[in-house]
Amino acid sequence: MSAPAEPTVLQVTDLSISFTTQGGRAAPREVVHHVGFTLERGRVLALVGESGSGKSVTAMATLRLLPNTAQIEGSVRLGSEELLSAPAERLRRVRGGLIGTVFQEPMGALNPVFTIGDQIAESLLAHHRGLDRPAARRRVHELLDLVAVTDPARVARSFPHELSGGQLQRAMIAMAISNNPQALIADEPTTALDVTVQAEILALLRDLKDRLGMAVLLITHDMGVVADIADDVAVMRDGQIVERADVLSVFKAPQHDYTKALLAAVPRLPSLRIAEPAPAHVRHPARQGVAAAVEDATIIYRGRGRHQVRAAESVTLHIAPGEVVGLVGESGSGKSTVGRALAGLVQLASGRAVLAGVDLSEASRRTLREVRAKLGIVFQDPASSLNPRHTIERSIGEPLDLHQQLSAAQRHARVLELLDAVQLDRALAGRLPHELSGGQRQRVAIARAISTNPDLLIADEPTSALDVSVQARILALFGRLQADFGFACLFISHDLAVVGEVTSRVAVMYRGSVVEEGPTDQTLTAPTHPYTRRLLAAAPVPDPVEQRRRREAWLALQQADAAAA
Amino acid sequence: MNRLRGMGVVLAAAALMLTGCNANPANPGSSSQSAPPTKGGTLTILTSQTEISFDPAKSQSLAITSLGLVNRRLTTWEVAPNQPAQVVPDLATDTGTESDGGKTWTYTLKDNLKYADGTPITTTDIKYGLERSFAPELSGGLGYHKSLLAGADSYKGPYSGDQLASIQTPDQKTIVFKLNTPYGDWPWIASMPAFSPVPKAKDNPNTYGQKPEASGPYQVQSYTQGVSLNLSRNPSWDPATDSVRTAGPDQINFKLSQDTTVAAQSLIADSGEAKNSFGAQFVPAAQLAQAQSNPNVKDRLATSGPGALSYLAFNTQRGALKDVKVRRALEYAADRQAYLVAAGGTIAGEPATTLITPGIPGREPYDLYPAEPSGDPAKAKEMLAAAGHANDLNLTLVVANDSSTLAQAQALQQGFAKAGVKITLKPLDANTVTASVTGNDTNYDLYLGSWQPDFPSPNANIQPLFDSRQIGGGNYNISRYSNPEVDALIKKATGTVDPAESAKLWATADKMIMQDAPVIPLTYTKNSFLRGSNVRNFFIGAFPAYPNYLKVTLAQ
Amino acid sequence: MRVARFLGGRLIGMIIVLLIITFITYAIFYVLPSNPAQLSCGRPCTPDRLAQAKTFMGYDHPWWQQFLQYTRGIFFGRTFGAGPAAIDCSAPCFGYSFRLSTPVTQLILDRIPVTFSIAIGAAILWLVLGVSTGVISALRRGTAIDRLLMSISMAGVSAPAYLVGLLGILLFGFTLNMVPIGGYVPLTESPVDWLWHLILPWCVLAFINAAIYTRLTRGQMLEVMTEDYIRTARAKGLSETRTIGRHALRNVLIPVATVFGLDLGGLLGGAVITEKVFSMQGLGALLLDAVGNLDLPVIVGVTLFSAFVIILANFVVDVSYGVLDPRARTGTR
Repeated sequence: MSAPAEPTVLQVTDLSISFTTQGGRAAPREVVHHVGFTLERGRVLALVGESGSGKSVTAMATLRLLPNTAQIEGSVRLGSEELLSAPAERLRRVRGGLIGTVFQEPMGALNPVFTIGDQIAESLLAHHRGLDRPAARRRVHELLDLVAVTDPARVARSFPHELSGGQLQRAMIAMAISNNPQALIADEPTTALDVTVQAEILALLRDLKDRLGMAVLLITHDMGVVADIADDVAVMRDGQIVERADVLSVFKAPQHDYTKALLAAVPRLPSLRIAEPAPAHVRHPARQGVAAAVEDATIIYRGRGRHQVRAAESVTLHIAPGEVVGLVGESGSGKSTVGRALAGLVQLASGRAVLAGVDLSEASRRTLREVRAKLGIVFQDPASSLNPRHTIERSIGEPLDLHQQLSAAQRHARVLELLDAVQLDRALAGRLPHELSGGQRQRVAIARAISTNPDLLIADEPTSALDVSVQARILALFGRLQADFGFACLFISHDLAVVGEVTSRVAVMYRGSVVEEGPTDQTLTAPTHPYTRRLLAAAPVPDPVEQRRRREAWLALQQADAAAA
Repeated sequence: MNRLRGMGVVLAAAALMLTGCNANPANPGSSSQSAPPTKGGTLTILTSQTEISFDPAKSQSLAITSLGLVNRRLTTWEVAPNQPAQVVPDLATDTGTESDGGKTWTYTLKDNLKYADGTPITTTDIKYGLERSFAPELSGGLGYHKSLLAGADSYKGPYSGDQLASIQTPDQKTIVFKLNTPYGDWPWIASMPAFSPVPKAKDNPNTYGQKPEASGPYQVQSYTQGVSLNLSRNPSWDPATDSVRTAGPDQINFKLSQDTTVAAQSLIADSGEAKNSFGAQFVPAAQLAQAQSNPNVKDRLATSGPGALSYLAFNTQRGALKDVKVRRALEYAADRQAYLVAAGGTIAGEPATTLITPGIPGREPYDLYPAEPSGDPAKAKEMLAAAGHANDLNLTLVVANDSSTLAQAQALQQGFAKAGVKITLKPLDANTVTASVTGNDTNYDLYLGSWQPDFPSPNANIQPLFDSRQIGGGNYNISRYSNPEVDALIKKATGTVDPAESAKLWATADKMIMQDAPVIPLTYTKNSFLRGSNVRNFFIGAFPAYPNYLKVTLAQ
Repeated sequence: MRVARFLGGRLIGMIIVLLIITFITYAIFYVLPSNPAQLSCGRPCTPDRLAQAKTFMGYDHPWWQQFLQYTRGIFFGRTFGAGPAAIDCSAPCFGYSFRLSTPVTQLILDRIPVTFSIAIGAAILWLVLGVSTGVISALRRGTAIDRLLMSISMAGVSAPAYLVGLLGILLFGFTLNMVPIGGYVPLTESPVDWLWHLILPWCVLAFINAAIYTRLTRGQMLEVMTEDYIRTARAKGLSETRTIGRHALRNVLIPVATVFGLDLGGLLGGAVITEKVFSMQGLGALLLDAVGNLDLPVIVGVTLFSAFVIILANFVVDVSYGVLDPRARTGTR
């Protein structure tokens, strides 16, 4: 199959998708309405939207990868060929042959029981019946080399659980391009990855697109990613494309209100000055005293047998009363572990964790209980941290029952007050968590965390699971509550921009150690540690021009590191 | 094997018993018209037994079943349709000559008796066979002789080199037994398995049971433990010396470990091999009903006359049951009708009032506690009140936890409730029940059991159940009944050699015991067996309630 | 080295578990108010004779001493009685059945082919049957086929083995006269008859057990089919057959293999009911018979063997888990 000469590779016209419910009694529910777009050779079209906008469903529908309950109408043409009515065998040849696909979570998207090499080879063999095994193996190594994994032979032999997320996503890309496809569909390809890895994967995709002349359909919710890689943008909302334009126009002059709101909601990093010294600028005056602290803390997790992981190494961190301290780092850096140490949930191998003047490792069970009343915690996923069978009132009131002796009426009044504080309708008190949206649930979690007027709030990635517009509102709420209640806060996040918005001081963790600590503005604009610099440079910003600058800075850092190594 | 109901269905069928003369068999169970004995064919016997030992010392086999096909004894039983069971000479020329007032018994062997290998059978071998039955290694058989032979109390068998002086063999054809007490039923005792000859040279106590030296018409050809036992003809057996064994089939195969239900079904279906088969187990209730309702099958069903006594024993050494007035009152409360229904109806038995069972010579019918078959709870209540136990009796009944026994126990329970007596059932594993009621533990009030004598004499009805020496220690005086007068009468009757005279004494003992009401006789049970359509001369005599294997032939 | 230590640890653990099982079996047996010597006493039984039988069988010592003697016998052998009638039971002596006049070791060895023939054949049948119907049911979820298979499997799950066996015999043995109604023919004697006699027991066991596998497989299949890697497999152009047969099934089989190993292990220790209905003399029948006759050495011996097989099956499951699921392998990063 030779690549078509004309630039249009895939044309989607008037695509509508509806789902029938199990059993098929209710009327089908249409989730995508009359969507159309075009993929062109060598260009990246970003399909942007928040959760529920129908962007992924749209992408999957082009290859008919949706479950049987989906009904697809409209037209998807690959060249001159209609895919929606293509026979199964032809469709099979298109999938993986002419159109490659990359999914969000590489760990889940790869079969855990087969080696990477097997899974890539399988993709080759599915489209080249004559290929013998040694040839397939050679080709697998070539492909892995092409996606720049280190040691392709080892990666090919490995099972998914033996590799990092970045390596897996590279392998996934190798598999997607194994048959030189005309088009590549990438569904949130970097969402599950750390920001530095994300930068690498995006660079790889850009490079491959140019080298192989593919058309790319990129599904994403991240405006930074869009700014980094897209040529064209289509913004989806509630199953419709509300705006379609080239990338510069979208960011410079968004037309649709929704696009504008979306862009406004994205937290922004201040401009990066990698070379310049930082001005001595502090957002808040330094505070006196210590609300909570870890001092020289080392935490070791024991695995099977003699296997152990040093999750934190001599970490020292002080939080003053009323101060909001950010703790940033990538997955596995130990940031959540430090949070757990402050909550008294993990044993320290050495050092101390102090909360409200009490050394948690020496405290009696009773003291520990009392101290916990002065602590509130908000987790990443509100859906799993709320008991699905408890009403909202019961969930919020639970810490009150544990730590304060209130009458039923007092308790009820307090819960309503808290609902007001987090700007939730009082009527929600009697509901169950599944009746609430993700943002509402996170508000409930915050209400619960602050119900006992804690001295310290630990917020562990509180907005990571939320859409950007919801995140913006939650962060605003958080800022207001902090001002009102005056609690100190350890704000743990991987997202530098979010941390930049809410914290006054920040500590950066890397491989179990705090590598840099300082006032937020200063640290995020003029980092001193090379890791912090890399981290900042890798974070994409929602501005194509600025992002190009950052990208180049990041590439320079990469090369410098490579040269130093 | 054990005749206690508690031992369960599987074992019950293995129990081999004998009946005495019954002048008037109520319902002679013959399922096949008497046919002239024909030779040839392969007979299959389906049994749920998992092992059959042909070691005469360890066997409790009846004279007319498996062991009788291979091992001859001094005497044996003549069991024929419509005929009372008789003790007849087997290896001996007569059923025994008594002297010394019944304390000495002498037997002479017939001529031309040979083992399968051609060596002659001698009285030395019979003496040796009896001696080895005393060895602890070979315990488990019928051992009535062990307590009767003089000086045998401390004898522990021939393996340590000792002989038993009270068995004398003046020559190879004569054998003399010296007893420690006069014993009129000795001819019956001489028909027991241990009176089979065992040549000392061939004796390995561990393996003899699998390959015994055959004196009967068949010898063991092959044996696979748990699976099959095949008998083939013994070429040295001389029919002229044997009046009781027909030896029809050329080959007799036992199929072991058969599921009773499946075996009965295959006999009902009567196809292939099943045509030449019969079942050694009682037909289960469901298949019995099926067989009765099908005329083709009903013909092939053999049901015995009323036989074994099923009874409810009172623990006479416990609580209120020590009081004979209470026991007598309870005699009226038994609902035999409901009990019989639960047991399977009239094909399963007849109501009982005496201890000596039908088919045993000397039985005198009587009923000391006359009532309707469903009992007289009003009278029982009145008598209990008179005895000072109105409505305060709460008795524990230990029963085996199989469904049929439980159903029967419940039927009784309801009858007693009408008389204001509360019965609490205590279902236990069959072995546990037996162990506890025959042992030295007395923690029970009532026991539901059944007893069939080992030989057809009232002695075997009464002595094991009511002699005070049979309390505990693994014996069957489960009522723990002790009456010196009765003990003396038992002793006297046992020592009486004249059958008519001893029968009278036993009948007196029967009534005397029932005056004390240590048990409630419930029913005389009947057993049913199925045969295949080619099986002939398959019948059950008045006693025992088992088919006579020795006469079965196959249609040719 | 590492493997040797691993295996050594498992072996020691296994021996300890087996000793504990022996101990418990002895303890339970002696808590019951039954007297095994009494069954060997004969009739009538005198206290003297009972005592003699007890002594000879070794039941005259306290039960814990008997336990020690038994354990000792396993390693060093033992002798019962004395003189010409003495019975030698050489190590490993798992006891001697006086009722059957056979060493327990011999009894178990005799019965193994029967039980293993039943168990392994049935297990293969039910695995194939259960997994294939489970897959079909999952792929046709909500259709008439799915509902039919689920109803049949519900019947299988809830049907008593004895009843199914009996109905099978009545229908295929008597009414249709297609298969023999019971009994076992050794494979070495006649492979055809062996197969012929085993077909019905296999089918009965398979019918009862496959149901569990149908349901397990169906549930796993439904779950696995929603996994991302299934979508990946389709997206790279694999046929539906290959997607299901390779990517889905392999993952479905991981939990199935665990259950299968333990089920098979349990069955290899004796298929009590099946053996009884079909008059096959396997370990289950041996145990049932021994329990019915208070044959303690056989009870202990068969219990030990069954426990051994189950522990072994557990071990094999653990090992195969590592083979099936690379994530479970030790020594990987």
